[in-house]
Amino acid sequence: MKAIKNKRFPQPLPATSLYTRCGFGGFKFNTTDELEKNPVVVGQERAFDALDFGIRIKNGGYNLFALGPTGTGKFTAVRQIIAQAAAERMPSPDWCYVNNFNESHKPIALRLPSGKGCKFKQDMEQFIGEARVVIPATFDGEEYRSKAEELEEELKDRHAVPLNELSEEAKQQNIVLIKTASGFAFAPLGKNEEVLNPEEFNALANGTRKEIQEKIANLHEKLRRVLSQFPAWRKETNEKLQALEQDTASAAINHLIMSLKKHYRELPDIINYIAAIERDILNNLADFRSAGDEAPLSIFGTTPRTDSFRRYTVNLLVDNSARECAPIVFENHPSHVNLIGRSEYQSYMGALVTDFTLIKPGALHRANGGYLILDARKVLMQPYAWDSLKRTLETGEIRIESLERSLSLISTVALEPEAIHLDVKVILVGERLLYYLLLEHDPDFQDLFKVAVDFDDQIERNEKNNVLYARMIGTLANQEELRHLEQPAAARLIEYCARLAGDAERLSTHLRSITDLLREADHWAGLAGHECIKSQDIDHALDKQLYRSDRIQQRIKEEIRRGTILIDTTGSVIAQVNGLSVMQLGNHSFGRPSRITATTRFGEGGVLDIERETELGGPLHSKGVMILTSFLASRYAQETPLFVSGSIVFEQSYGEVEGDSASVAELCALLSALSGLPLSQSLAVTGSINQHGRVQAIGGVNEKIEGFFDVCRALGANGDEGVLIPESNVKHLMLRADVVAAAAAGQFRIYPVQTIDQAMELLTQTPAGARKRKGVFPQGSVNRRVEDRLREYASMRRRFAARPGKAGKSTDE
Amino acid sequence: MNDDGAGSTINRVLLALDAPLRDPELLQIAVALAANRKIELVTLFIEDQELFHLASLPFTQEIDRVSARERKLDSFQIARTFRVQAREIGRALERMTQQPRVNHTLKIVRGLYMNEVHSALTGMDVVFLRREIGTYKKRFMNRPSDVLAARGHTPGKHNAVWIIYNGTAGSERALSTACDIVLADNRDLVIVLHTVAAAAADMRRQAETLLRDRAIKALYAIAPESEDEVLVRMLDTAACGLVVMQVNGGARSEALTSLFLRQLECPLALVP
Repeated sequence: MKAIKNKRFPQPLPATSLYTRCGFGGFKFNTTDELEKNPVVVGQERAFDALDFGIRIKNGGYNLFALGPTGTGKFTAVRQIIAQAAAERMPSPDWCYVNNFNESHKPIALRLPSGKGCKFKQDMEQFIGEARVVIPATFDGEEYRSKAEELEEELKDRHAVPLNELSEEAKQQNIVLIKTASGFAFAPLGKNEEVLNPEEFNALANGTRKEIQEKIANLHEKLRRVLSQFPAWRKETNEKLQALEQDTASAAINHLIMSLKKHYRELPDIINYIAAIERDILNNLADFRSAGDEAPLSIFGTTPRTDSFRRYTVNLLVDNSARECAPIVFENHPSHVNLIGRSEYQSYMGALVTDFTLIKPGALHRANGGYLILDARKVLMQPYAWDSLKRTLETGEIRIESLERSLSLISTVALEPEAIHLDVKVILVGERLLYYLLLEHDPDFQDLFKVAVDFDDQIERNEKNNVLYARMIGTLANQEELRHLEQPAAARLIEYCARLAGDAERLSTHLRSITDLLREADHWAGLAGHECIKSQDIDHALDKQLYRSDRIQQRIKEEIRRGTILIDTTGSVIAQVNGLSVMQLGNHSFGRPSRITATTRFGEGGVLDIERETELGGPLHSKGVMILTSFLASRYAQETPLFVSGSIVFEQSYGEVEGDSASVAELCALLSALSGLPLSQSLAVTGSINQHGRVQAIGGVNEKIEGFFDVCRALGANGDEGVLIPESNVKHLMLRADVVAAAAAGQFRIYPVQTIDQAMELLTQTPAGARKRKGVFPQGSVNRRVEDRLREYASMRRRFAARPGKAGKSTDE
Repeated sequence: MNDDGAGSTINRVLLALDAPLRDPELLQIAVALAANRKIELVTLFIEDQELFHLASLPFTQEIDRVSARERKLDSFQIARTFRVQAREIGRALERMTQQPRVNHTLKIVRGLYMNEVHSALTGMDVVFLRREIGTYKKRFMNRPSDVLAARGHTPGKHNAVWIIYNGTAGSERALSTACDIVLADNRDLVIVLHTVAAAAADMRRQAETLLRDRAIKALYAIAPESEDEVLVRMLDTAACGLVVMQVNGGARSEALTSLFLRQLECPLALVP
């Protein structure tokens, strides 16, 4: 069949309608290097506006969710906009954890101005280092030793006074006070001032012995009273010694303390901490006095954790000294601990121990005062990360909690660090589906992420945006250190963006694909020795991309060529039409023709969708079949009942069929079966139908056309081939150059159709026919033939029903 | 004979104790001297008979130094205490003589302390004494502050060795022994010129002559020969580390020794 000559039938599109070339509206440039650079994400005004709003509004809960398809540059755009906002803000404060000298398991969080944390840590290390030198030196000094000895001497004197008196009193009575191993005793003296032995004592007169005993008993009582005062005096002296130690140490470190307090006078929390350190030092002077002693011996090769000075360490959790603006943190592994921080443990003698120096910051700590960017999918996939993030944002403070402890997985000593005030904007980046699922199923989500930053996957294609895209391409080339593009190459790339969008009037914003193509074109340009990327480098890169991924496509085409998959591209067949479908394999999609056949018979079963019956048809496909059934009834059974049973099937289709883009083709096959008119096999059909017979737009029109074109070429095209597409899809056409060339040469045709009648006319080369005044279709028209057949079925039904014993029973029963 | 102790005649050192030493300083001195001389250190632990006498008296009570509680003294308990103390002294000796390595012997006798000391003096070159128990030592009060300031120790040095020097041949031996101690244990030396004021200058020159070959710098103090109480007061208030004196078996020497033992807190070194 040659090109359709009937002028009443739809005419093929001119080649110019099949591919819309890129124009810059008089904007001239030789290469993209000459262009002003602009952000690589363009045309996302709505998203940018939402971003700007979200990051500037101060109220709580206005965190952001950047949603859109992957690869559209969401992360890039978010980073760009936030970088601008962060640059306007002062750097965040530094945070430290220090020991809580009252409750060591509750470390204290200290906030310092940006960059001061590091200095504070150094100052404290220096202070403790100096104290460790100054304090022992002071205690070794003559002044302290003299004072301490004076106190000891004073105590000895205090002891000596009553003992001397008692000793003297005893001596007056010829009794001596004797020191024993653990105390004192009184003994009577003999002539030589020696203690009487028992014999000498027993030799004394009874009265004398009794008198001695009474004297000694009396002295005992006095001695007991004297000695009973000694502990209290010792305690007093000890207190004086302790006070002396504290005064001495205090004087020794006073200038160091004063210097620190002066330096940090504007930070009350630091001043309090310094005062606490001073108190602790004075209460633990023994540590400092033995500072020069040898290190403790190792036990089983393990150094004992007895460094008492560890408690004076400053754990600098967040150090912003190198920052000039607010922090922007992207956490690539947003686990629970990576978000809110953790307390690490050390193994010591078989036990796990921890202290405040082992507290490690999380992304929220590092981003505090700035911005935290997270991949929503990763957050949701990490156990407890989402809950922890929400809890932290709700409370406005970062509280480090051990997951193992909260889940009762281990029971070791755990820290309860003081919570840190949180001031951060969290920007989740994810797909739309995630956003809407969270919105639907997580009641907290809407309270915490009030700002949706919706990235469009397409923007309008016009000359202004073409120029913006050219600039974006130049910027990308700079960022990626690639060759710049000549103007035709830039135009070709922009045309590729339109094809990527599947719309001649739109441009895809899929930044990843654009960047990948740029990189690959740069590679091929380099191999070709081009200084700049030329349009043929873009084409070459696209060809190679296609070649790398079209193995399945080529296999299907090969099977069609070999006749394994039955597709006719010549001749006409009743109730058989070439439908078109799109297959998606990874990121590669291609069109392939499918043979659709239909059968009809007398009955009341309606149209049977075999795909659905075998559970291979999706709901949209079934919907399409139901619509065409409804169309049949609406158009042909207004006055007579519809007694027809039909079936439709995708031949040699072994996978699931979804979508309604084949409903026009299916209807054509059905009408052909009813009318007995053969359908041209050189044409393929795509489009969905509504109940009134109007053809509606479908997706993947370019791939479908190209898929049929390739099959036709494989089977040996004779120049009659073409595709029927919905007229509303014409604006989407961005066809391959070889298809456009074939169309320009009259070797391939694209027919836009608006109605099923137009489709049937093109396929059957028979007028569809419209009802005349009497309500009948013209004789010989497609519709007349269909209607006649249906009326015939109705008559058959009536005759059948009139037969005895069959009334009211269905023929299908 | 030790090379460093050229001129020294010390070959036999005795340490006489009646209880474990609360302050190990004396033990350190004795060990240092023995190590320096590479000789054996003999320790004599004297179980003081006076305490047994005391325990045998029918009414004797001991009042605990810490708790002020009274308890009955009995011979068994005292004997048991002495056994424990002897073991304690043995352990302390063992510990102290590990480094430097010194051969040592511990002998235990029961008797009156001074009698046992006098018996042991024979054949010894120096005897170190320290009484932890026995008659209560009266403490001198109202010490002038300048005495405190002039104590024998200075920062980084041990308490000084004080030698009672009176110019006799015996006291020259004592001075020589004191020099050995000073050199062995790195101490300061204070020479107490025990004479009348008029003779002090000559006696000092005499002492300086003796020290010339020893490379020792000494401080000098004067104590009137006839006023032992003043000497004791001086030594006590100066809180000296060790007093070295010569004993010759005479009544005067014995009286001074007894006085020192009764009154001084610091240990004694007797040179026969």
